[in-house]
Amino acid sequence: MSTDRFADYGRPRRVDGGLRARSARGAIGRSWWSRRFLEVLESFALGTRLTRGRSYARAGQVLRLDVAPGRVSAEVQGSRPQPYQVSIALTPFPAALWSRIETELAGQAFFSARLLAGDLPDELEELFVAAGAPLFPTGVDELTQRCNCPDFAVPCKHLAATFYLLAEAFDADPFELLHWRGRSRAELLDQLRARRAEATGAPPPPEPDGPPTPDDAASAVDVPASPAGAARALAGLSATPMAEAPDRFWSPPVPLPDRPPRLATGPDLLLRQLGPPVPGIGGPGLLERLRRAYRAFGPADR
Amino acid sequence: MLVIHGLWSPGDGSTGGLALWAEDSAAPPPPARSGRSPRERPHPFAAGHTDLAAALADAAEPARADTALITLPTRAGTPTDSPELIRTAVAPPARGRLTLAAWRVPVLVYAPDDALALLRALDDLPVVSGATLRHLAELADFAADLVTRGRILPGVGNTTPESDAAVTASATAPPSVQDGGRVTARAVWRPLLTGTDAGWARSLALALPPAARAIADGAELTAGVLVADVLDTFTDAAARAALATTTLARGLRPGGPAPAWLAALAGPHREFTVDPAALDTLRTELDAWQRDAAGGPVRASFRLVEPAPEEVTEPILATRPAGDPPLAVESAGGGRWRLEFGLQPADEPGLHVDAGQVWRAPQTLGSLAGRTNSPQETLLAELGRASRLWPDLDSALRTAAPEAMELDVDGAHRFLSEGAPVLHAAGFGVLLPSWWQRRSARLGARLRARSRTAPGTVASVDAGVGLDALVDYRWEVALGDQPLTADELAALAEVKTPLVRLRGRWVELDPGRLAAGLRLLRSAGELTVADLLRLGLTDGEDSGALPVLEVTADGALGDLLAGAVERRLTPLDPPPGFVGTLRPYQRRGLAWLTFLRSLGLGGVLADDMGLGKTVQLLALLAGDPPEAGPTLLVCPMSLVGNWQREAAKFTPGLRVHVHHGAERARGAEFTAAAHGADLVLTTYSVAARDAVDLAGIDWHRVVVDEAQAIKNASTRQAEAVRALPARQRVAVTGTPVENRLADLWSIMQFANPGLLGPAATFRKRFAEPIERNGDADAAERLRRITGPFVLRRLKTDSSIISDLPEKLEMEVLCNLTAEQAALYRVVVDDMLHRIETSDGIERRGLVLATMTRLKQVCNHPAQLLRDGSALEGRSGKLARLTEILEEVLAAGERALLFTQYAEFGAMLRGHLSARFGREVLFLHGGLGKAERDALVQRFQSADGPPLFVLSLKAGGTGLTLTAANHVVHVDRWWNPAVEDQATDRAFRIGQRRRVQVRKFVCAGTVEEKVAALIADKRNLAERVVGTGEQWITELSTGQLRELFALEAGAVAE
Repeated sequence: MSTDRFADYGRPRRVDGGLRARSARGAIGRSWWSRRFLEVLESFALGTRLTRGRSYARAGQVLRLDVAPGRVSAEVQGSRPQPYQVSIALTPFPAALWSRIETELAGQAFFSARLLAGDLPDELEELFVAAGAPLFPTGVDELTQRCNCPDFAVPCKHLAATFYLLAEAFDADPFELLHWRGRSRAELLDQLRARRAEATGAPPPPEPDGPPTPDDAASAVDVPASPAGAARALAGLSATPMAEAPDRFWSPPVPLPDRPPRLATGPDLLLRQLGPPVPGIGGPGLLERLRRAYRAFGPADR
Repeated sequence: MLVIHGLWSPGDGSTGGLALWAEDSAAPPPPARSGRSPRERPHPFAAGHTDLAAALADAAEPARADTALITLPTRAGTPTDSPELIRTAVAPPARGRLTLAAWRVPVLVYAPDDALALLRALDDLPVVSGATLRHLAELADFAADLVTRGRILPGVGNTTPESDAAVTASATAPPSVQDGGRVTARAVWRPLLTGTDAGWARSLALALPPAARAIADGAELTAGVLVADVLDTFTDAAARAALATTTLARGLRPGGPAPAWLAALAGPHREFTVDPAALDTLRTELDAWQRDAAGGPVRASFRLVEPAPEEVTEPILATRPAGDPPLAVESAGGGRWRLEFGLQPADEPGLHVDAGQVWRAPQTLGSLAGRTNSPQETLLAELGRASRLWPDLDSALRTAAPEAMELDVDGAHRFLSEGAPVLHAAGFGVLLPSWWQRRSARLGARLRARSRTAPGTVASVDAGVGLDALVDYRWEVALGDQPLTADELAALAEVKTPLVRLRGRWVELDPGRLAAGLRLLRSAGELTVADLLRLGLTDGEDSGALPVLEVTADGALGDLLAGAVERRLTPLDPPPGFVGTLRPYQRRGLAWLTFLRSLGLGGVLADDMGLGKTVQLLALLAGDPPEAGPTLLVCPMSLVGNWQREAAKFTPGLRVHVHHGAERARGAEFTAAAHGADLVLTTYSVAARDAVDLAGIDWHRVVVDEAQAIKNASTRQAEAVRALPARQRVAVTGTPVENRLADLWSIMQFANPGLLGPAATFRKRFAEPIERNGDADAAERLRRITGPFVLRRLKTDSSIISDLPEKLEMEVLCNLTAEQAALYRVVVDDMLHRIETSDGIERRGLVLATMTRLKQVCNHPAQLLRDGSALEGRSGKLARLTEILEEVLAAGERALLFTQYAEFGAMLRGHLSARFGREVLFLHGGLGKAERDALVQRFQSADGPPLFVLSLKAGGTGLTLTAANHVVHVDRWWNPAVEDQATDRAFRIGQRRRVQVRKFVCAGTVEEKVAALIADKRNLAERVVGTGEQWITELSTGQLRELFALEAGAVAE
């Protein structure tokens, strides 16, 4: 190992296709819960390692990030050829506690609704606190951090990079935080569905099968494609090969119907609906500048 | 003339986009070849780059000239003509199997910004647009409209820029890496298609003519992929056009990807450089940010249900004897409102699957099958998203399986006024009670007016009320049709809830409007009739103003305002000066016209074609007192002769002066002529040219026939006829004006100036809300105000249909254009000279040839000359035919057009399909049986093409074409049996409508004279009928000279 010591201070090896932090500048983490999670890290870690961890995260040095109950494991490419194995473990909540929590969650559709819509309502945190099981680690002693790099410090920059990417995974899908705590998204939804069935007196529904729909398929790695672009609305139209109708080559195959009434909306309604984007790409300032554009789109006499 | 076609291939300016090519009508038709076509050949009659560029030079600058290999339907080794192509030299119909083959054509390729500009300026180009080009223009309009409404989102495009020519760009290529590890990417605006926009995009894709995707290189594109690419490209171009003077990135600190991206979103330069990591971030975050802009395939729907009536306490309104203080309102409101949750498929917005069913029986949601595997989670996620937009919803999510939200009356009102619009706009389904948005659910004002003269004396003819007369008025405030007293209003003002159930109906109480109502009740005064009528147009959208629900008056004015006045009036018998009989509905029309005149008001007579608008007008004229002064009638050139003859027929006592032609009277001479006449006929163009002379006459009445001619309010002719002083103005039109609101405004501005207010206000208040958003309230308001002044009866009205014969035959007199007349005279002089010096078979042949040539001239100069020149504006028949077909198409009906000349049929088909943008079928002797059957079948199918040109010989017998209820004999065979047989293609078993048959005849020509001879059988032996034109050859040269000579008055201009 000692022969490799100097390599630790060299530049990390470039990585193609690594996981890359989404935020390019400033703080990582946009939701209150991911920032909350990072506060824990930032409360005990040292400045330079955090900075270097952040730049590792942004440079895509993290090759793999897996969330499992009680354990997050990752591979981080350092300066050595072999990537470092990183893990951050905590004690998952016991089954009995989860059962209590699930009863509470199933009792109010509010929780599932917000979680499935991509939010972690702060009431959920209160609920865990009330059950005696805080969702966020309160101190470093709750976490078992491992990295097989030679750096003696904990967390090292590889661990720090993993923390940052984990925070972003929580941003994209709050279910990942619950997964780390012991319940995967699928398990949790199954449990909630079963309890809901008890509450409504309906027969427990079978598990969903077939390919998941966009609503229940959101996960940390899947980034949904943009809703914009005409292709989305025009997918699945039946296609007539040209060879089939040489006699109707020049004219519309079916007449164009009358134009239906248009959606009456103010030109900037979309912006109001979407709210500001993340600070990493401009935040509310970007929204204001785009609003200028949408006003220019509107009819001239307005 | 060039027929321009559009091709589209995906990709940016270097590889794809809009490419235009053209067929050249002047190119000689290629000889037919036999055998298999080779793999690739130059297109035999495509226009070259120079011609193409010259024809399109005014519209936009092409990016480059190129060639394209395209797949075209091919017969006998030759690409088939597009329907819009009208050839100079007529080719014999080709026979053989129709296949697809590849042809190389010269094209001009346009960059997106220029392509958009070009497509939006098509109407001004001196070319014929093919169906592909018109369809692409429709797509360009749609893209521009999406931008205007802000239904677009900014993003990052995938394509590499074209800076490096060696790089072949493709849609999926990674961003090109530049020096220093930075990459070049494109900023784009993309359409967000939801709801009706998505539906319209699909309609546009389904109706895409296959010719638009004819590019043969590479894989065949589906219409969906092509239309998606066109819409994406034009949306981006239209957004940039709108942002031409806007900068988005000014003053922004550099750093991060956003500033460069923002800068590239405005202006013509779409590329920006950025480092790859930042680009990834930008793309990912933009996608995440925009994720909720469009919902998934299943979305939540919200249905507001009002409380059961017995739950609700209605306020007790003060109805105490006068003098007593008003009663305070008892506890009003109450009752529980329910906002029910459910799911609906995004493409079936009418459906609402109850949340209860989702919770209790998620396996049985048949209507959602295949759209979501986990309906419960879908519903939860949707509710979660909706609650972000409307946080009130959170409170309803506190149970395990929420099915609805209980609301009190304030909550219900808050949902109606705030939650529902936001949720609907965000793509959620929202179902509201039907009374919401209905004007009867709101407080409104009613105006009661009283004429200054005592009721009864108004009716004295010619002492018209007029738009400037004064009336007394007072206001009433009402809820729907229930009037409210001041006391009741005051009582309602004390009810502090926004929604009140009153006399069994829910109404919205707006404090501002209640106060306005109280103020109104105290006001009264006098105003003019015009202001009175206009008041009905107030929409009360300004807060504090009340919408005007009704305007009523006493006496004749009241009858008018009450609507349907035509039905209430006693039908009038035609005056003595009118020769002929009027059908019952025509007598009612006469009564309506007379009634309006007595009020000094104008009207729009908009009866369906074929109902006899002309005779109603003539009967009105015949009833004018001799001292009334002349009526001026302005009509298209093609109708002058018709009016002249109809007037002579029905009102022989009327003194008619025709004011047109180069030798028309001017100045004092004209004034004298006009004063000596009862009816002065002129054309729109003369009306514009002689505006000063015409304005000098004190017209009793000005009538505009085919009033769509003035639908464009700013044209010279529209301004000229509006400026003519007259005591009454009547507009006559057969097209349904009420459907095209800009036209309606312009025509009404002629008939009753000022009634509909300024054009800009009208557009904002009515045209846009009704035409773009389907605003039923605005449409109703408009109907109420215009209703009294527009008389439109349809052939299908039950009260009309019983008055009509099953088959209505009309002879339509057309004029010649000056060009036609000159040609006609040349043919007559030349041929008579040759006939004189010939005899026997040669003479007979010459006589028949003369007939043929004269009839060709009457059809169209281009038919005789065979020069392939443009058809528009050169033939009286064609002008008249176009006018008639416009009405046929506007009514959604279909027509058969018979001609005995196949070459004229081909010209008609080409011209009409280009003119109307609809497919026109053409059946002629060159087609085989299978092809004829296919044409008939398509015409008869439910969505078949509306126009069918048939050669009399090939199509006159045997076929069943009952989808048509109009038959036009464009030229005559002089054989009633043959014509009737052709007519019976439409008029036979299976025909459920009345059939209108029009036989075209050019006035003053041999056509009219032969028609008169046949009609007047005294001079003709029975043998004439049934033998076509042979008998003419027996006439003496003197008789021929008489028969062929062009009579004065044949020419209109």
